[in-house]
Amino acid sequence: MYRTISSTETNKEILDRDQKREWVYLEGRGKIVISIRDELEYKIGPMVAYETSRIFSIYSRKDYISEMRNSFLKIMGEIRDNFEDFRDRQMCFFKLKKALESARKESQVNPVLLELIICLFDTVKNLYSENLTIEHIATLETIIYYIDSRITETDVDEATEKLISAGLNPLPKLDGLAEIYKRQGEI
Amino acid sequence: MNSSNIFLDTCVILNREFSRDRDKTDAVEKFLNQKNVITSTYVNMELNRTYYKDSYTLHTMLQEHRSLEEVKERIKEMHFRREKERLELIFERITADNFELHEAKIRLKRLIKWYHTKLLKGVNVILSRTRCEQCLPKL
Repeated sequence: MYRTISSTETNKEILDRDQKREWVYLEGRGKIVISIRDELEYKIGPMVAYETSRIFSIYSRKDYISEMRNSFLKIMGEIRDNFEDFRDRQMCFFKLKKALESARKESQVNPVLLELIICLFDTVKNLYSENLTIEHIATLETIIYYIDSRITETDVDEATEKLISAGLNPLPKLDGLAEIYKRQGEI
Repeated sequence: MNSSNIFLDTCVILNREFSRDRDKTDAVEKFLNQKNVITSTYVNMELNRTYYKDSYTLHTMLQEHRSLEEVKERIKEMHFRREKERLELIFERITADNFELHEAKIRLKRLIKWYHTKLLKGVNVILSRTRCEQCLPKL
């Protein structure tokens, strides 16, 4: 079932996939603003919809990814600004953790971007705000700049290498495994 | 090998990264700081036979199933107790934070691809003098 909606640019088509109330953006670039009367609760496919009254702002995937990158950089700026006060630093760092969790959910359609988000997610998860240094912040900012709609696997590999070189851990922790090997006589 | 070289065996390398005892690992890191740390291709081969092989085994299991529940059930019913314990730990870590199957696959892929780099960061790998064929450099 196709529905035609109006936008500020041109008419766009939205597909109501399998009656699951899942909207998929079919074409068009750039930011469009549409008005949907009765569907305020609808999730709009891989897009993110910001609700203002009864108006949705829908970003194309490319714009959404830039938006995501900018919001992470903004949080990093907040962490820098509040670095000296541990409590503020912890609160800002927690904000980054939550933002990454949400970005993970929104990046499912792009596996390469998802891998970078998982890479950042695991790095941040393995890091406590009390151990955070200014160098760590600089490295994380460098990695955040990799967030792009044209991201490649080579970019993700480069990002992972940079994080490991900076002494961060972008991988899931396996603590406890050494004790198992020791107990089992493997090492 | 001069006197300032410190040789790390498999046990130390695995403990540096995969131990729960942070006090011990911190003490090891402090001791190794500024030293020339080396290991051998034999140790590298042993690493391949521990966490790497376990992770790769789990990776093939994830490929065979459609859901994480199926994989979890399969590991739970395994009668290889030693492997079961290790696979359970790795499975638990890659599925933490409500990760779905495809996300867990990405995490595991990254673990397989990158933990060697992390484990051997700052460690010079020298050719083993043992006659183990698996330690010979690949032509």
